Amino acid sequence: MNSISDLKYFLEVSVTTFVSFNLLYIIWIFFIISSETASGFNGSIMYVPHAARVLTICYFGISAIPALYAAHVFCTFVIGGAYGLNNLLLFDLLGTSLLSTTSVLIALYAMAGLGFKIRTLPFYEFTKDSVYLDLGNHKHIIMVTVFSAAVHSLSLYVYNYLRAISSNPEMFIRFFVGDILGTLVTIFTLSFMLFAFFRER
Amino acid sequence: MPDFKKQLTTFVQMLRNIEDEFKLHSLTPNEQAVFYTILKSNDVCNITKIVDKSGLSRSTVYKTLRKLEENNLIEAFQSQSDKRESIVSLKV
Repeated sequence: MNSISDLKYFLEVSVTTFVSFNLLYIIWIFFIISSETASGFNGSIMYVPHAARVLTICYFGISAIPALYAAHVFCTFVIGGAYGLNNLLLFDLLGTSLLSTTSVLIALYAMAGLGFKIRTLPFYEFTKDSVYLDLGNHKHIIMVTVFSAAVHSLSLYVYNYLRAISSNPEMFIRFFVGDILGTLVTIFTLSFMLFAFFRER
Repeated sequence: MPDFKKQLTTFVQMLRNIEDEFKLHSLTPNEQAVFYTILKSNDVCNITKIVDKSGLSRSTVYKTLRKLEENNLIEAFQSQSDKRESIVSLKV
């Protein structure tokens, strides 16, 4: 019984994660990236799919990782490839996808080291002194967004530098700002949509 | 075992907190209808015009106007040409 409910939960989380990442990626491709490619691609200034990473890992924990990784590889390879955004070798595609997928997780563990813990993640002990991140509070989510954007941009910059893909520091700045702006825009748009369409009248 | 629906509810709660923070739902749908009718009329507006344009009943419009006036969003004054008629305008 437990394993069935575990599987059901895993499937629900996986489908939600995969679909939400794909949806945000398509929105990003159509509405944002088309205005940015003119001067060459050095990282998007508004990367909305980062919201899917932050929100799914914060709310669903590590259960979302496999679907998020699959969605990342699928979107970059199939959709991004079709629009000429993927110039990476398969090894680098898998490597950067892994870094991007785990960036929020690493950020959450870094925050846990600083005393800010989240209940959806196991692996470390909660003590009386733990400050819990409140998933109902958007300010806490924004804090995770900033931390994860820093981890994501830094890890990708180091990876690109070591693999001689790019050593342009502008890419680091654009990834950092792009992840934060993209997540904020997504969260606020969802909030406006909730207000405009789904509130009881 | 975490509950999927409970986690989604927490997410929606987070979005509602943003609404609360930025006071996105401080106006009810009726208040919005009346407010936007006055806004669209560009200048001043009488109550009959608001009733016609908003599609609300006269009593609802009166009640809503009182609330908007209390919130300092509009002001109502008597018409100079017809003392029986009230004129409302935005206070912004």
